[in-house]
Amino acid sequence: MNLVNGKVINSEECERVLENIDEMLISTLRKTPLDVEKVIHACDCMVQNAEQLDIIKKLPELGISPVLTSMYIGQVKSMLGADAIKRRLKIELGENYNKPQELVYAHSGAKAAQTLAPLGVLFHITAGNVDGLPFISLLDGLFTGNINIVKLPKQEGGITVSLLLELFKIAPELQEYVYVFDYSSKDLHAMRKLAKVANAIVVWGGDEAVSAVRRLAEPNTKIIEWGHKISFAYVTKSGAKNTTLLEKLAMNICLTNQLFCSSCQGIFIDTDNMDEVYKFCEEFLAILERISAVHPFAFDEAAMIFIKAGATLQFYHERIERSENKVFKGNDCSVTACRDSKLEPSMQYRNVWVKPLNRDDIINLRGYKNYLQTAALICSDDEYTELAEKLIRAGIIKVSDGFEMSSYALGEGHDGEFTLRCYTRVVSVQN
Amino acid sequence: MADRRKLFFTNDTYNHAKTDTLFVLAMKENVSFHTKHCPQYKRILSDFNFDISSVNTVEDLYKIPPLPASYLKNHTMLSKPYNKLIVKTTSSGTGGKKTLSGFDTGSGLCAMSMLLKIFKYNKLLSLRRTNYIILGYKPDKSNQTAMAKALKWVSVLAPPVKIEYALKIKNGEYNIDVDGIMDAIVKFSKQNKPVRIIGFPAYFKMFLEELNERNIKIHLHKNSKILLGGGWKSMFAEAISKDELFEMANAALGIQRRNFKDQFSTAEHPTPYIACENHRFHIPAFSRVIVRDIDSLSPVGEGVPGILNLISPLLTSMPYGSILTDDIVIKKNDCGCGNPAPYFEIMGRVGLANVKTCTQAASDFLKKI
Repeated sequence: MNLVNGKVINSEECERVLENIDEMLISTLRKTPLDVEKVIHACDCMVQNAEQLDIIKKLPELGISPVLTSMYIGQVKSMLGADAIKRRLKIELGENYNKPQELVYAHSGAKAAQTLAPLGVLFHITAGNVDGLPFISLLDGLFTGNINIVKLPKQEGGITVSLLLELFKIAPELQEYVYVFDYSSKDLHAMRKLAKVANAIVVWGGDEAVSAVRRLAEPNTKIIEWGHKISFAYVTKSGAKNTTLLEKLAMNICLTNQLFCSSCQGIFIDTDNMDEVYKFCEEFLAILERISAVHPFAFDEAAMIFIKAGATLQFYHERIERSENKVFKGNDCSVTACRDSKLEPSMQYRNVWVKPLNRDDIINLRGYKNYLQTAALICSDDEYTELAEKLIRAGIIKVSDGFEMSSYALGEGHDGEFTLRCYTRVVSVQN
Repeated sequence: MADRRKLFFTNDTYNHAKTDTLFVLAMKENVSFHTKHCPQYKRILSDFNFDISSVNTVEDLYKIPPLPASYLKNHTMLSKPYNKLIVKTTSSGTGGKKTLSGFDTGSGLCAMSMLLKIFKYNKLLSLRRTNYIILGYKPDKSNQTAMAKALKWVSVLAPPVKIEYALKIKNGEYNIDVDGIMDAIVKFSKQNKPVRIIGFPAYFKMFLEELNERNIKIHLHKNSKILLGGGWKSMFAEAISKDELFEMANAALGIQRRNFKDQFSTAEHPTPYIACENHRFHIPAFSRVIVRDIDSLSPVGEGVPGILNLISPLLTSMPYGSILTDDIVIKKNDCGCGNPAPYFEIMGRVGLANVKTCTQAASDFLKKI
């Protein structure tokens, strides 16, 4: 679905927009800057009645489980109320972000006013792994006063356009600040054109998507990369006895199906002994199976065929390879014990790996550099600080319990950065 | 390999009932040969406690442990010395991990016989001199892919007048010669000779779009044919069905529906499955297809979706008698098109990490235009 100036348009009209996009952007940029207060007000009004929005009612049809739907509504409400947005702006951009700061040139005594300004035009190339991501990404662009061009991922389900139309009902003046296109990333002509008119490209996705954007962008275009990350859990001997914490981890695995960057792909055990790893696998499988039964897959039958066949083929492949990995297979989930300590993606869809990683070797994870994101730390209280520090030193961005791995707290950094700061620049004007 | 020879020279091209016994004998012969000559294969069979004497009917073929296609991308398995192979191929066009495949003399002869019989049955053999547009790579020393070789071999089905390739080497790398193929198709349409257009579905769609863009509408000779192969996965992503592609082809080139053929084949299992007029892949007498349960890998019944397992005693060069693909298919009988053999339809491919197919690479190539 394509949306320009608040109107849903077809692909022919899109071509015309693409031809004239330079002039359209310039015409908006000529006007007084976007009043961010209006964006905040519109969001605030919209979330008051979030449950009543058509698109929210349709979420179950898009394969999103009821538990996740109510979690999303809760999160959206807590994130997009006026007070929440203002607080976030202060956390990310600084307490006095909207007040100019006085600078003095020491040698002459001349003064200047320094403040934050939008980057100008952002081109968001979004990914399909997180529901509603394009909308969230472009809102961050609006909170910082930017014009936003959004390339939707495949099979987005119309969530972004529906939410935008609601937003525009409240604040029609925002319409010219948002362009949504469903061009394929293979449409290089369109992609290049949109990249060319943007001050910065915001890219969400895996290594391939990031590399493609690096090739696409001209040297004078800033690239803001939200690349794929890998998250995991770290469990100590005392953590392995804590069923409540392990259930929270199983919740993350089942509710996200391990599709997010912040989802748990696997579990490192604080040991060098494989027998302990095997014992943990057996115990954790029982927990995972129990939680999986409470939160069954919400995909349709066809998707389930591919998900199940993928896991079956992988297990068969390992059997042929005489892999030393030991698979503990449950109903709709599995736990695989591996001898190595490599950090790697899982097969996803409730199939986790378990590997030994002695606490003294946590630092070895630093080799994965920018791929590292969240670690769920499951241990006793007296171990927590020491291990959290070790994980952060190795390069982990966020340490939490299993349940909060994929949650967002207001003002929390994203992949080690403040998003809103990335979408602004610091400017100064001599008085 | 007497049983293999008998099987591949049979004239019962699509008759399973008549060839079942022979097929089982040929498979037993094949598996025994590879067990003797490929230690790695022997190891795998013994890991499964498999004994070839347990296979006595076609219903027993599922017992032969299949090799996953994804495994063969990382492991080369040979039962004959590599330098004894007369044709060597690799699986992927560009990028991805490659599966080595190839024919020794005996396999090559049987393959030739099989190809001629299958193509003849599907009315793809002709003595009329024919012009070719090949929407694929012009063969080159640097390109050993099965696809590049297969495309060239297809041109023996009817004697070629001229062959125009879409991908030609220029400055050491392959480039799409759009003007070249556009000029060629217009020129060919004016000659009183059939034209055959061969290649990946993704390239064919682009070819038709380019004709549209240039406002070229032609009527090819009535015996002209379109042969597509190399998987439809990327076309699923483009949300275009075979029917839509056919409509586009009919509008731009005046090609009859019966002359629109697509085929399925893999480097590890080089049997061509030619789609009938109902676009279904019929299973020739030279191979058998088992559809395996997505959980247990046991054979499933007619019409139940599962993982495609291809079985053929063709190769003595490599122990690829039973190959487990990443494709999800359903198998059925009684197509109604006149071909008596059972057929399968492909639902899609399981997205295993690091398994990159030819067709994806073709889509990647399109991005460069």
